[in-house]
Amino acid sequence: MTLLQDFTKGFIKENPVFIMALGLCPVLAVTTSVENAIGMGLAATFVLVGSNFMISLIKKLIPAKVRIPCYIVVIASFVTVVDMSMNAFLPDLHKNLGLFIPLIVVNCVILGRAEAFANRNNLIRSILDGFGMGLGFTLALVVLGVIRELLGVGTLLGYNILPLGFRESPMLVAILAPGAFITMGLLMGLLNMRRKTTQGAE
Amino acid sequence: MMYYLKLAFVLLVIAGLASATLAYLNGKTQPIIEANKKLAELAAREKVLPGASAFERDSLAVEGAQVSDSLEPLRLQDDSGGGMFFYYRAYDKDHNLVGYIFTALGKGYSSTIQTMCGVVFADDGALELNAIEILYQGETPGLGANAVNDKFLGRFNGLSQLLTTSRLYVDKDGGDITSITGATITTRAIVNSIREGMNHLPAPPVSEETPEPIIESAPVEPIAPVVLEEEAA
Repeated sequence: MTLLQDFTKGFIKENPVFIMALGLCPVLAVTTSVENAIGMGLAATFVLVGSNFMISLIKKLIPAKVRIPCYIVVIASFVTVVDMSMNAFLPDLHKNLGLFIPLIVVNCVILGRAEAFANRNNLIRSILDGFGMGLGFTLALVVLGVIRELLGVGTLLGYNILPLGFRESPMLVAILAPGAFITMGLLMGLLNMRRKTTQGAE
Repeated sequence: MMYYLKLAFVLLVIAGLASATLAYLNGKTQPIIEANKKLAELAAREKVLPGASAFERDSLAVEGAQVSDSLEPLRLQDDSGGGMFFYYRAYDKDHNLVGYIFTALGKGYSSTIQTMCGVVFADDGALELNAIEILYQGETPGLGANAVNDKFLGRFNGLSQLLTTSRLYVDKDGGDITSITGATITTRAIVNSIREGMNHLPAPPVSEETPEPIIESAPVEPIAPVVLEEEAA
């Protein structure tokens, strides 16, 4: 597999959300608006790259039997570092994203990549993998966020998009919890359908 | 045996390194975070009560009071068992009492919402809500979290105490505050906490020169207007 593939496989082919179905809890929780989706996606990307980097670096020192607790310590420390620095130096951003940062600790995309990729591959490939997976995660969040915000509120990034009549009585279910599951299920189905038809053609 | 000792040792080293890093960073960032918090609170005070330059902390006991955490001076204890109600008296630069500031706590859908309220004295001697600002909330993004928008906060500007005591409820509870779409619980928490706080506040002072001492036991009674009527008679 080439370096480019390490980077791009996370976008569609091995998309952490739609294909691997990892880290769904934060996905469902924060995609009520595009802004939140972008914030959560970028924060997760940062942690993913950082933890992949660290784990790839120290993988030879960690005995296989205790690798999971070691990964968790590394990831949790990374998230806390991000949380504290952001709170101190970027308080405005932290006000918007503060809620999501602790959620990243329990995001299994990060542990999944540490276990499945970073502890078997070299530094460069691990960082590329982290970037690609992070961007794929962000992409999935944004797609969900666009659909849900558009249908549920009638806006995108807070700007009015749909006509006033719709915005006065929007499809409220889209930004409520069931809307997350419905949108998610439809998108997953769509991707699976596409995959099946292309495989049939081959 | 040595193998298992090694496992424990590696874990210990990694956990130790992580703790040391975090402890160091915490020491560096904590003062900045505290300072930011203070700045944010000052900015919120300026927003809810512009023109006030000096603040004096005061407190009064709410039924069945226990001493509350003095580190949280602005907050109303929200457990119904009572507690201390803290508020600030706000003075302008000529040392005239211009209003009160308090922070209401209300239990919302997924967090305890902290709302700072600026209260001024209306012409008729009643208390009037000047403006409010959400200091903290952890409500659902896209629904309850919309409470921080000025569009919602603006609904509270200039409400008189008459309104506060009788009509300051969410529309679903028969009041005049339109709730946020899909977030009645959040709106209700904010509205109810503000109403409760307003009811605890002491009445405005009678004379502008020498503010009346704050009556601690029965702050809801409008003492000032009664005195004025006796003078007129």
